[in-house]
Amino acid sequence: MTYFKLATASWLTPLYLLMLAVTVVAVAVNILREEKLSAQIVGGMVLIPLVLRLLLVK
Amino acid sequence: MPRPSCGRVMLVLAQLITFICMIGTFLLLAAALKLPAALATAGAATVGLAVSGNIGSLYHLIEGAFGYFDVILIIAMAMVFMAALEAAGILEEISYRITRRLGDKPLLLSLASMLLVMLPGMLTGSSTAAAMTTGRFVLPVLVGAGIAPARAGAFVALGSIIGMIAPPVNVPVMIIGSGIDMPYVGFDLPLLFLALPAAVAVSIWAAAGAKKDRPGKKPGAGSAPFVPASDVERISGIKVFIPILALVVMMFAVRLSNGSIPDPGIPFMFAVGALLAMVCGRRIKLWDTVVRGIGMAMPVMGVLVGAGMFVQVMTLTGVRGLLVTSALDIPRAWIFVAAAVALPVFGAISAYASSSVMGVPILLALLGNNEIVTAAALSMLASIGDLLPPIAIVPSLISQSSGEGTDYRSALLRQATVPILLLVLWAFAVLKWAPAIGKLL
Repeated sequence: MTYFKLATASWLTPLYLLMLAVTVVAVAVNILREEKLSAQIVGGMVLIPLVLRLLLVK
Repeated sequence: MPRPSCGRVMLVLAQLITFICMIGTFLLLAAALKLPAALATAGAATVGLAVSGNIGSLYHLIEGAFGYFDVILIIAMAMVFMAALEAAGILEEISYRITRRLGDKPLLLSLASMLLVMLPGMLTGSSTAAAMTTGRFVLPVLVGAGIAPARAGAFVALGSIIGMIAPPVNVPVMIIGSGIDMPYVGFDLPLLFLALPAAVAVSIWAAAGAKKDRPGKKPGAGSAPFVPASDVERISGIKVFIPILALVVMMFAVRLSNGSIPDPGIPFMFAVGALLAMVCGRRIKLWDTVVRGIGMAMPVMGVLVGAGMFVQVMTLTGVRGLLVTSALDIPRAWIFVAAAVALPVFGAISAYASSSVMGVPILLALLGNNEIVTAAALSMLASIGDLLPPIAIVPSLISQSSGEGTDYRSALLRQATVPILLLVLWAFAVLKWAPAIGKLL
């Protein structure tokens, strides 16, 4: 319920959360397709802030 | 003069050791082990935590990962926009039209090509975006117009950097500004003042090369190896310009409306532009384009996450403060020289990391020197690092995409040496006379 309230705080918030969700899934797909371990780790690093912001944890 | 206490000396020594360990780790990982700059900065941040006795505070790395979150989202959406333009055939169509109209006018061709190369950098704030998208289309056009391949490659590399500096989006300025809580407002004119003369000068340099490299041959006349799209694939009319025009209109409308039009944010504008590109060009697969765009953005997003961690640990351990106070102690005249040397050299590893680590203390040391023009000039110096060895990310990408072989990167760098030095001098001059330039603008 709190998440829903925060996610609809303004008309732009759900749009940005949608963009963020698309980005998170696209990063995950790129990590799975990537063959180099270093690039996979970089993808994992990128996912940390994206996922936390998507969940509105931070 | 009071002597510093033993505790103070020990503190400074500890901060210095932490800083040396962080920079050493960064150089070891990036230059010696050839790891991506993102991993090098994150690794250096972790070592900094360990050396300073804060290894238990790993949450600071997560905290730091949010340092450039806004910029990360802008780059992600901007790359999706560029991927959509490319997949929809819009970039190809614009390149073809330029070649057809200006193929036999080297100066106009190089000016139009410069604008085209700069565009992705201007919109994304990333030189790699420019090199990987329009740079690939422009390179064969220039070679076909009679410019030697090495000089054409240097032109694309320089154009990518100038595009990265030019408004509306300049990520190094955003990074430097965030370090001193300065909003990204009022930078358009100073950035244009920096980028425009550089773009024109590089275009003239390239056009002069076209005449010199092929004497007696009419440059560009029927020699372009750029293969135009077939009639079936061509996009007719002004439809091809709609996504870019819509983006520009949205950006300017928000800025000129004085708040009467709500600002939806740059990522939102790029997302709308990407959707328009999908409608205005060839039929494309939406999800594949998004994944490809995010894939192109991932190394840059990674560097920003790593740079955020690096800065967070520097702040936590007091190293950042040490840098700032040390920068304040340098005689003012020498700060300009230090900036002209340190920012590009550190930028050779990562322009974004250089903006953060070197740009912020130098800007703090130059407070009162018109901070907006100063930050713009510092961003140019940091961005030039993308052209410099050992990584030379932009020349490397151009070399890879051209398929010219391993010697091509060295030839390209040799061609670009003098223009790079002139760009550094130009940024130095703007930095030095920032207050006067600020009054002019």
